[in-house]
Amino acid sequence: MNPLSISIRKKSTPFGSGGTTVLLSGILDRGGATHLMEELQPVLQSEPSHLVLDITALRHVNADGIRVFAKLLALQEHHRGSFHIINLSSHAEGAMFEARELKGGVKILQIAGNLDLRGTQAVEQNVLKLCEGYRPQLLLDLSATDMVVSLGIRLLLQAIKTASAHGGRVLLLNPSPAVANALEFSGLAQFIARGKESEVAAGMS
Amino acid sequence: MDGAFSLRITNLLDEIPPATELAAQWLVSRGVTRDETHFARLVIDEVVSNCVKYGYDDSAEHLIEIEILIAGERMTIAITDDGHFFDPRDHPEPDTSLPVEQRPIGGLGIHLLRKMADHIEYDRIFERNRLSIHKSITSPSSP
Repeated sequence: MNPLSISIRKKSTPFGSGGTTVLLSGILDRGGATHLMEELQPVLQSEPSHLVLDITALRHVNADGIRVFAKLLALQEHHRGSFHIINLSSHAEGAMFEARELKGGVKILQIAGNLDLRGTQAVEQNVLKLCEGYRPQLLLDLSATDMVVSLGIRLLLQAIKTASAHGGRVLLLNPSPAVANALEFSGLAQFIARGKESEVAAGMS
Repeated sequence: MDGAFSLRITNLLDEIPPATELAAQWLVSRGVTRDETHFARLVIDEVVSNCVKYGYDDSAEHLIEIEILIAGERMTIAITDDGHFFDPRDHPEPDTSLPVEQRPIGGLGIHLLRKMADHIEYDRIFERNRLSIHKSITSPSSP
């Protein structure tokens, strides 16, 4: 396989001007990882801006390559949005969430993104906190949840059980067909609710 | 667009998210649909995290290889590790019909894979597990 080839295109990213797109091709092994960090040093040392890695032509990545991506992700997080590695991190923050209270005391939490390893860890505490207290009524809005792995299912099941133990209820609102499939395969079909949030909430309270 | 992609990571949970992101982005670049890409993410997440959590007794570094092959309307994801023998096809099915209060938390990862994949192959070769998961996909288009 070919060694890593790096092409840096400044001021050209999907975010507009001022960023850098880095096209990677070949293999990203230990030598490639060192090469990549050397090439990116001037970019990383300049003022924070958008950084886009295009991996379309990348053929192989080993553990050293993964560590470079992890390092760049950490840099992105450290700079709090100043760096974007969109090919890696369109879901780098995992799932995003937003909680509101509806009429009748029903709370609704929208989970957007992926309920994968990282996404589940990101929302876990917030979800479980809403399942405690006196007779918690919680709608988990999954309409913007792209996918769910078993860790995410485990969190949903734990939320349902916790709310039930407190005399309350959790419903899973408007999941996409793919997420609904995973819920059904996991025996959670009875907790899926479809419709407008206000109408579903009115049926709960 | 046919093609092959491979990743090699060490047995650390922190390496799984960037690996799944890379795999997903490569699949998107090949014109694979969103749901099929999510399936690949699920496979990598479930199989690799299972391997990292339960595959080793020692604290040494181990390599886990992830290979993705797109050939026509078929996607194959193969994961190879040197962990304990583990054939997920023998893993007992969880009882998902139990009332929720009686359901154990967990044990669903392998179950989800079996339900969603078309076919799962397992081989033990030279003390290594090799799990190949096959899924029919819509003919990938050029991005």
